Parts: sequence; C-alpha cells; structure tokens
Amino acid sequence: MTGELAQLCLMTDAHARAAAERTDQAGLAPLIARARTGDAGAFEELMICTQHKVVATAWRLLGDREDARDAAQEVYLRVFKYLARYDPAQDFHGWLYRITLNVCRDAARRRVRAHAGSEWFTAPEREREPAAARPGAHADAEAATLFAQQRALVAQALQTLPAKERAALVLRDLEGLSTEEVASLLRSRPVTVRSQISSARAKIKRYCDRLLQKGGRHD
Amino acid sequence: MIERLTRRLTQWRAALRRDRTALDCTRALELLPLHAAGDLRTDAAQRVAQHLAACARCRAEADAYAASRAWLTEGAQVLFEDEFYDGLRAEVLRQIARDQRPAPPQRAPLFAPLFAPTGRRAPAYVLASVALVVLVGAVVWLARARHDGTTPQSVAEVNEPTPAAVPASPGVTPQTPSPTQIKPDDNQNDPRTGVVATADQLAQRQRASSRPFIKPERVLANTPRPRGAAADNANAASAANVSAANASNAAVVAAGNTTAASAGNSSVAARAPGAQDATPPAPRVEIARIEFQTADPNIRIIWLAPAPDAADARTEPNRQ
Repeated sequence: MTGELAQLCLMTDAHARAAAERTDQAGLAPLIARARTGDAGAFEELMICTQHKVVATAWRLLGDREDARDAAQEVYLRVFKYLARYDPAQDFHGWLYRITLNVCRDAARRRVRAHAGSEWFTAPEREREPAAARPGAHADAEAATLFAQQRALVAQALQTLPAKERAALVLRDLEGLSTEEVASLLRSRPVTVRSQISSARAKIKRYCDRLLQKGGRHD
Repeated sequence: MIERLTRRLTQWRAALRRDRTALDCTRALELLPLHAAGDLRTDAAQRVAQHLAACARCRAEADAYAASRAWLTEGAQVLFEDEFYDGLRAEVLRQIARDQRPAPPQRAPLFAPLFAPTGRRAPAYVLASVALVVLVGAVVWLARARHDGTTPQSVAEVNEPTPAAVPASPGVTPQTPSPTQIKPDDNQNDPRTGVVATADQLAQRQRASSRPFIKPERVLANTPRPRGAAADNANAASAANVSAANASNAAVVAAGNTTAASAGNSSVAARAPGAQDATPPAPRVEIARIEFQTADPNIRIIWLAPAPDAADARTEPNRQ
C-alpha cells in the first residue's frame, strides 16, 4: 500500500497536466466512478484535476497559505469520505465548491489568528511567498516585491469583507461563476447575491482608493 | 383643437418616457458596481451606459470600479509551487491510507488455542478446559441435588414419640452426658417425638432451617414404654435429656453412631445409667424418620415409619 502510494505520489508534471485537462464533468466521470470504488490512483488524479480550484478558493477565502493547505486537505478528505454519497447526475464542481465553502467557513470560525492589522500587509505572508510561484512577468526583484505586496493587500482586502460578501465576490469575480450558480452554492437568492456582490465591490473599491491615497502620501 | 390636444399628449408621453429611462447620478452610482462586471439586465445596463456617456463624474467612478476589479483579479492569483500541491496530495493520501488501515487485531479469546491447528500450550488449555467443565458440572449437580432434597442427611436412633411432654425436674443431678448430647432447651429437639439431637445433627438442622429443602432421616427408636417409667427415667436423666425423658426416655444417637445403635450397645449416648437400672432396655424398633423442612423455618414436617429392617432392630436387645 505504501509503495503504491509512493508511486502515485511520483506522478510527473506531464501526467498532472494531462489530468488537469479533463476537468469537465464528462472527463471527471470515469475518475469519480473509479474513486468511488476506493481506487487511490483515480482519487489522486481527481485531486490533480481540481486541486488548483480548491486551493485558490480556500486561499481567497482564508487569506493564508497554510490555512489554505489545511483546508484543501480537509476538503479532499471529506470528498473521499462522502464520495459514495455524491450523485453523478449533479455538477461535481458545484459539489466540490460547496464542500470547500463549508470547510473554509469552519476553518474561519476556528481560526484565532487575526488577519486584520494596521499594516498594509503581513510580513509573514510576504516571507512565505515562494520564489518559484512568482510569474515570469515579475522576474525582476522589484516587480516581484510589488506583486507580493499586491497579493497581500488583496488578501487583506478580502478579509475586510463580511464572510457572505467575500464568498459571493470570490465565487463570482474570481472563480467566474454566474450569479445563479453562486446563489445555488450559497443557498441564497440571486437578488441577494447581487446585493452582496455590489456591496463587496464597492468596499473593495474604497479599499483601493484608501491605498492609493496612502500611497500618494507616502510618495 | 383636437389635433392640438393630441400633439400635447404625445409630447407629454415622450417626456415621461425620457424621465423614466434617464438616471440621476445617485442611481447610477448604485448600479455601477454591478455594471462593472455586467451583472445588470439589458435595459438597466443601457440606461447606465447612457448616463455614463453624459456624466463624466460617474464615468470616472466606473473606471475606478474597473481598476479595482482588475487589481483584485490580478492580486488574487494563486501561484503556489508544484511542491505545494505534491505535498498536499501526499498528505491527503497518507491520511486516507492511515484511516483505511485495518483496525488492530483484537485479543484472542480464552479458548482460542483449543481451536488453533498447532500450539505449544494446546494440551494445557485442553486439560484446564476439561477440569473447568467438570468442576462446573459438579457444582451444578450438587446444587440440583440439594434443591431436589434427594440426598440422605443422617440416621438417628430415637424412641417412639409420645404426644405428652412432662417438664423435667430441676433438682435432678444430671448424669455425665455423652459429648454428643445437647441441651434439652434447644428448639431443634422435638418434644413430641422424643428426639434428642446431637450437635452434628443440630448443625445440620440449623443449616436445613435456613433454607427450604426436604431432609429425610433414618432413625432407630425404642419401643414405647409406660408413662410412669418414662417419668422415672426422666428423673435420672441428665438435664440434657429432659426432653428425651419427657418424650418417653428418648435417646438419640448421631448419624455416625448408627453402628452402635444397630449393635445394641447399652452405652448409647442419651441413655442414663440410672434409667437403665430402673427399667430393662426396651426392644428396639428401627423406624425411618423423614423430615421435610418447609420454607418457613418454624414449620417442619416429620414423618416416621417402620423401617424395612425393623425386625432385625427389634431382635438386637435380645442379643444383648
């Protein structure tokens, strides 16, 4: 079992990219069917296909890298546990989003760490930013620093939002879901989701305006 | 006149339609967050667009919304390294493998070696198991036998019972009693039957009285004698033999003394020497005494009947 897991963990990036291409519902269906039978290899392929989405959502909702990792682990453990209850007729991504939202909500409740500070960005977040994660456009050290600062500011800006508004904004603007899909995931009405999104966007704009004003004064 | 009114009505409707479609800045600013990402319906989006085309201030606000949205989208990119995802998957699979690991084996049952094909301690377990089964069976059998009352308890020698009981004279000096004799005031001695129980018998009766079971006894009894002689014998008897004297010179031999009783030994424990001098020993009759102890310790059913070998017992005194 351990050898099998080790072999599965050594999947190449090419395999991961090939698996990531099968992210639509039809492409995931065979993987889901195999994973429901306890196939660890199929489940890992399923993780590879969806891990970026889960991690990104968790990071955007929680604003911290380690919290996002823990939340993603919990998400996949729940997926493995309750995969037998999943109805193949429904959207797997929606089911996955719902689990992610629940896990992040629970994590946010348990979290005692205060992300809201007086600083513009938290130093640990900047230090944890890996060099390999920086895109090629930010190869320059100064540009990379600015990008990391922007990421920290965005994370902080998102954390200033109420939980429901943050979830609606992340799903609608950053995950690209429609208002109806967001309403379905949040178990709310589209009108309510629109109101939450509108309020969240206005708050983000005001946050940016304050940043620009502070930046102008610092300059 | 009518044409003029119709023209005025048309102009008024057009003005009303223009006012309805036009937006003021307050309403436009409220709709700008939704207009920035195309979340407005078609008609509302057209009105906002018309207002933005005419209002520079609202247009600047719309540009600010677009910039903040772009800033948010760019800064919210998740660009973690591959090792991050590799570690995530490895940790998830490790936890899944750990949770799916079979539970630790339970402790083997006590008699498992009996059913093992081979084992060093198998013979010892076999012997221990057989001994345990035998022990349990014996305990169960004994419990059932005691409950049914089929186990014989004792055999005693008694005189034939007389219904009348005469109190003993307190001035009589008792003869040396046998060690097996007991005091007459003991409730275990039956004044009606003239039975003087020994200590062992009393102990058995005490145990019997504490639990309801039937206790049969096999006794040897002397033949009845006249009442006056019995009173004389009572005067000569020891204090321990008061009830025996009241009950027509009774003498009780414990169960272990049945050989002496059957052999016609004159030194029977309960028999006083004075009584022997006054009256010749009566011929003995062996009777069977069966006692039934009921649930009530104060109620005991005693049944006396001639034993089958009563004739032999009756001839014993003649041999003496």
